[in-house]
Amino acid sequence: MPVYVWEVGKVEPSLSSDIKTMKKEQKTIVKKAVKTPTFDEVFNQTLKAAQVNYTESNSVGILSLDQLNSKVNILSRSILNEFNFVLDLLSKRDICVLIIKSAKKNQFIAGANIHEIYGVESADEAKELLVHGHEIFHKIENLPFPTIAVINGPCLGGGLELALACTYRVALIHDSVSIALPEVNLGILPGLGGTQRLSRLIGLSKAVSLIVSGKGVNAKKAYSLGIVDALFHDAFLETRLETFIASLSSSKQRKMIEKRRKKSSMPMKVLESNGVGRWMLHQLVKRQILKKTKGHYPAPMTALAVTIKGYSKPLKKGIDLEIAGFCKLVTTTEAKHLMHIFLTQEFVKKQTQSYVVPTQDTIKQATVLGAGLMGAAIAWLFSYRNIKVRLKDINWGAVLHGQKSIQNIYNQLVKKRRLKKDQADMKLMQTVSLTQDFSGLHQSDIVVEAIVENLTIKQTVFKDLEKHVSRECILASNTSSLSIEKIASSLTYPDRFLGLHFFSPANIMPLVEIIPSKTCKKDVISKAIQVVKKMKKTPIVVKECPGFLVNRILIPYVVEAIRCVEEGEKISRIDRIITQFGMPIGPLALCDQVGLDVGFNVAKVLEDGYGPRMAIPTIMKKMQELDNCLGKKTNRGLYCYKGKQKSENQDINQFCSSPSKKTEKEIKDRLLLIMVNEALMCLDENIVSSPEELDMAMIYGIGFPPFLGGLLMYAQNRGFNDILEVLTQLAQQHGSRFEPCNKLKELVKHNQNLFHSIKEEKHG
Amino acid sequence: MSKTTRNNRIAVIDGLRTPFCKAGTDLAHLEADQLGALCVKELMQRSKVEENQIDEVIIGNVSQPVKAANVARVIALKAGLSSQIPAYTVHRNCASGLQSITNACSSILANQAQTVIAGGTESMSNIPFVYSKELKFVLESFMTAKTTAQKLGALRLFKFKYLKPIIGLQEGLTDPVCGLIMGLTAENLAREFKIDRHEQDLYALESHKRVTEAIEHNRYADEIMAISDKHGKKMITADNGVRLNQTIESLEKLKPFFDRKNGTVTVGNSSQVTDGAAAMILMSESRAKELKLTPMGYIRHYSYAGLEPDRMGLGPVYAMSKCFETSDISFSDIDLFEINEAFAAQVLACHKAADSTEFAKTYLNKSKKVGTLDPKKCNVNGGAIAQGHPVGTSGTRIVLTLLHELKRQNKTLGCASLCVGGGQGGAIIIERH
Repeated sequence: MPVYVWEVGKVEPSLSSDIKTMKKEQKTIVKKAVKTPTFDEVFNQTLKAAQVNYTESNSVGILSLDQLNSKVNILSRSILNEFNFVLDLLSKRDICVLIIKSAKKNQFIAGANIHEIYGVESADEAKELLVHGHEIFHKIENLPFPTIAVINGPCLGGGLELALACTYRVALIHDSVSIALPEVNLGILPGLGGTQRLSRLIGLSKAVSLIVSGKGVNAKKAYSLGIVDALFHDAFLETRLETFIASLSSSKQRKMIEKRRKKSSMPMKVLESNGVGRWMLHQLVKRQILKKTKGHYPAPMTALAVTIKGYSKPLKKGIDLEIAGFCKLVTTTEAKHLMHIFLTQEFVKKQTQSYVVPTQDTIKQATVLGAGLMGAAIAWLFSYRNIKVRLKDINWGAVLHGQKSIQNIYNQLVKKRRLKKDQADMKLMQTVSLTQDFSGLHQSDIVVEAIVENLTIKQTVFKDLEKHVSRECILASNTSSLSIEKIASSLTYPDRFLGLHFFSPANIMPLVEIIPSKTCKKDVISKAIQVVKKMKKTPIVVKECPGFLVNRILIPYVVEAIRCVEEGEKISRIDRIITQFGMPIGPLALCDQVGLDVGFNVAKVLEDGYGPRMAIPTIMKKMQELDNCLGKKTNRGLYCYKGKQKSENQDINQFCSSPSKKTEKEIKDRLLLIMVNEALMCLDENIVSSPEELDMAMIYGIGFPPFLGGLLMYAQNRGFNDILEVLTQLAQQHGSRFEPCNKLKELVKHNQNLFHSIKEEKHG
Repeated sequence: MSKTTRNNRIAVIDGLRTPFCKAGTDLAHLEADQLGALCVKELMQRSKVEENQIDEVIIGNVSQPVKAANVARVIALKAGLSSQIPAYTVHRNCASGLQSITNACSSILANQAQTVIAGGTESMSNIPFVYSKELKFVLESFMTAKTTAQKLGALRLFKFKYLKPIIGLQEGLTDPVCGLIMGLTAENLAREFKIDRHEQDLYALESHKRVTEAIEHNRYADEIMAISDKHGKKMITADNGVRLNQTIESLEKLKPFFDRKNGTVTVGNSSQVTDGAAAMILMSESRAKELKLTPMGYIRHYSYAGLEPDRMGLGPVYAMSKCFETSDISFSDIDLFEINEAFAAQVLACHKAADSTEFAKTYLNKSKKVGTLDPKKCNVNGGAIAQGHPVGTSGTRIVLTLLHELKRQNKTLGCASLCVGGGQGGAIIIERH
């Protein structure tokens, strides 16, 4: 029996106490085991309470994973260590097949422990981590009997890699089953043999598309791809599994299973079988990746290279390549940032969860006032999540237009095959009702208003509305700029009012700002958070201020871009510099997309709210006077749109100074640092409760590039010293709007950071 | 049978209907289940009754859509009601929409349910054409044949005349026992009661006039919900069957439809073929009080009666006679009548039969006549000749219309009645306070 050495793993603090006691127990066990190394004793007496359980009947061994104190199974060091221990014991066991499954219902293994990977500081440390994992997976692969992984839920990253080390994989036909190698989304690659074993299992091209995209597939798709060898219904799992095991005794059957896995089209087979073909495939996919990532994300490229280069080599060599690729990636800033964001997501979830008070009531009926694009998209969100929604506008024409918009969103889903036509029709029929008056609103649990941005009209509408809804009904406004307090002041019961700010297009953008009125009741905020979560959106609670959080930071950046235009800079150059920086769309193109009138109105609100710091440049006012120049919707804005082509609008030149070329650095600094400065002010004023939430809001709300880790993360990496210096300089050159805020000065003065260093975060 | 009293009335809490649109027009894109679902969904939105208070859904429907067997259940689910609420469909031809209401009453009185959604739905646009039996046989043998030879053999049985479809609508409106299409039963009554063509046309004209006036005074607005047209471009908010400028001359120009040579019944003096759905929420009076709801009115009593299929149009007289006999309310107490206008000849025959002591003696085994139907109290807002007669829905519709009209005129008692294909009649007494 191999001597087992416990490694002091870095484990989550919440689990540490359990693990410690477990470790003590197991140390004594090992000692005992050396004395009386009978298998049954070891298992029966000791491992029962642990995370890896083993049972055996009719020479079929069942190994089930059950992570302590967790809803999901995560491959952390502690569970892997136990696994290792059990495998060593098992290797001498006389059984005919080993089943590896999860003890949790509809949960397989949701991946590796990101905290552990995030904590890796050097390539050597990463290598050590991986080699240890590989040893264990290697043991599974080399067991003297076949192994079957029963995938009954999410099987992601390390979870899939473990399943791939098994001889066979079967999956349940269940919605919870999702099979993926999502590592590239975190800036790394599947480091436990995923790139090598998957490509060898199902063929190169099919594997590449999964590895490079990180996208998940459901059980049926996984079966047709050949990742899993059989699909079972949960109810008949045991009997079907028995039959499956029995069928494995026939070599013909085994060959059929193997043949089915590799099934792919003839051209693909030819392409994969020779070096030239693989080189072509490499180039082809490379181009696709570059088009999507614009070179900002190295992980898909490395993952691709590792997969293709390792394919023709022996597995051992391939795995060495993979380890090298992983070690290279794991220390890149991109990976650190993407993992930071992943962890931040969890943090933000917890943060909003703190607002949630337990209650029985859920929102069953909603009303949306205003059937414009925004209103319709919000109504769709309710409908899609099976919440009944009444769509109201002031006349049938508008209401019907809204219904059409909802239908269009459903049609897009049908086109993408996310939904069947019948299902979409049924949802529309079951959940959406229309009205042009206040009839039937008494049943609503929440009313979301998305009408014109005009304070008086909103106040009047809410006043009328209050007569037609129940006392408990939550009233929410989707205003993007008007004061929540001012709207609330028109209400008899302002304690049920809050701002619920969706971002356009609401069916796609993942962020919702929740702005409670000052007197807003706790359970109202809680219910609003829950309904936003039910829509699968990320809510962030924000304190009221003009523009709230995202627009307050975004608008100065857009306005600054327009100022640069006014000073004679080329429109397309500004957009190009910013998109090269990593933003999904340039500020001026964004301006056109939102609509110049809408943007101007928000900018006006900010100017009124913050004074000269947010002053609107004259060029914006002059552009408002141009006929039919409202942006993309009129085909003319800062750009002119003709079909898919766009060119700069020459009419604007009359408002600009003679062409002058600024340095790229100046443009970037002016646009980005004005955002950073404003973001720090928001933090200082407690508009949002943590820098993590602020960064998340900017990523989800305006698509701030994730590889930079978020706006404030970008600022911290750049160094607050440098930012202070540049801003002071800019303030001298361009005016007081660049005046560095107190928070920035303070940070520099005390040499502070906003985000904890990696080590601290891991334990804190 | 004991007489009914005020003690066990059933309250009508809310009611709503879709616009009635001529078959093949604005609502033709909606199947009967969709029409019904839209109506029930909107009814539930507007009503103060909550979904979890509903115990059952009962819907009347004559031509059940092939794709929606037990259309009531399909309607309940499509309307977004909980799957735990059971639903069933009832069928008593033209009184199906009334049958659902009376079934609801029975259930509530028997303590089987507390609150019931009852209604009717009909999409006469979508009544299918059917293959002939012969063609079905050919197709079946072709599909079950195993060898090519057998298949060819099956095809040899085919004849082109088999392709002639059976028109579902026409079959449905033909009595399978006496073999007469409904229009011909109306011709029977016209002859029996000597109602000439002119009298029928005048009645039809009056129906159009009354509906026109009702529309002008917005009397139907409260009972009709809006439905979007096929393309989602226009909202249909009103019935479209009425001819606002109907003249006696244009009615007289029409040729008899059912008996081309000697007949009197034309499409002008018959009810229209129409799409539409209606629904209402019913519960016991005590339950309504408990929930602090204000009912639109109460169902006081109802009866169904049978008669010869070829005189089916007289059903209302038989049913009313039975209804008043078993109730403590007498004919003369009634403030307003709704007699469904299947045919002008049929309604006029009812008027004459009700007013005839001889008829009562001969057919109803009674010494006194049923009563004189005052045209000023009857169908005051017109009827199916101008509005349309979606067969499964009309029963619910006339009760709904009656409730609204009693409220408008601030009257107390109303009686609604329909003739039923196959030789039946149904009558219901409504009380507003």
